[in-house]
Amino acid sequence: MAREGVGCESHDGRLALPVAEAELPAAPLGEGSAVLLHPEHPWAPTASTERRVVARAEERVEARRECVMAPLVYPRIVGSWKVLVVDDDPDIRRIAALSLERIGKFQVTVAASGEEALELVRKDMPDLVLLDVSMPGTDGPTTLQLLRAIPGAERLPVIFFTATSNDAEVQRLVSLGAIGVLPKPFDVADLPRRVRSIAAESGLH
Amino acid sequence: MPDPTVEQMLAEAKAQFASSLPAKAAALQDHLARGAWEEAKRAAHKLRGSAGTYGFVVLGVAAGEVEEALIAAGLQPDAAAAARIGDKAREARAEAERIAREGA
Repeated sequence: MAREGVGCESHDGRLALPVAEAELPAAPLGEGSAVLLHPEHPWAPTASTERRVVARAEERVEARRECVMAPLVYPRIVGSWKVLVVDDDPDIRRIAALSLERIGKFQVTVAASGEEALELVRKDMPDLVLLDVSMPGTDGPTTLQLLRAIPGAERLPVIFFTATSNDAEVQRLVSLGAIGVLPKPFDVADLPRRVRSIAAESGLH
Repeated sequence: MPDPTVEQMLAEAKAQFASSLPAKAAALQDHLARGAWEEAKRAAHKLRGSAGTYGFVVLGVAAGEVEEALIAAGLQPDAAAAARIGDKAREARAEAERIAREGA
């Protein structure tokens, strides 16, 4: 796999930034790369439009890559979502769980550390994880890395919580494999909607 | 007795959090006084996120300023920087005590 500064342009010239952040299979220039783009993504072509986009290196070299449209496959969740909230701060765990359970109607489990989260995931796979970035011991990014090694959790959707939410940090966290980043502090009443919104954008339904 | 409403549960959580704030702010000051900069940064970071989330914006901002100043100083503030950070932490504590006293 090669990480490249490549963007996909649709036929109307809009730059599909998520694709620019994608891990592209290494392929000789001009031989094409498969890129996953959810069909409900706002930038995905509809059935009536040409299902082809042309990727172009930022340097505007002649390289052209055909981006094959394929849906991201997440299992459809039946019933209320099982959400694991991981944060070392008990005050955040309490208020997030309260919001997600009582307002969002999620099934919520909480973990106070990355280690505890990994143990809980092994025992009972959640549908989604809200993961604090800055924790003593195993921090959020390390927890995510370890999570991916657990059978069945290779593509478990993870949303990071962080108090440091500048653009560069958000990009870094997404590049680690999170589906989104929620800033702290967060609006307690709005948290469930934000979670659903990020999940929907990522093809989770 | 009916189950408490979401609003009642949120209000209860907020009240309990408010009552815990003076101790949290005092702990932050204690870390700073001991020169335990990493612990101070961690405490300020937590307070920044939790106070803001519970609706105590002024306190969250003050705690954030402490955290940012510690980071800017590379967790090794000189005497002048440490004094400024200490002032911020005192402001945070005063706000924490006001919240605990007045409830908002």
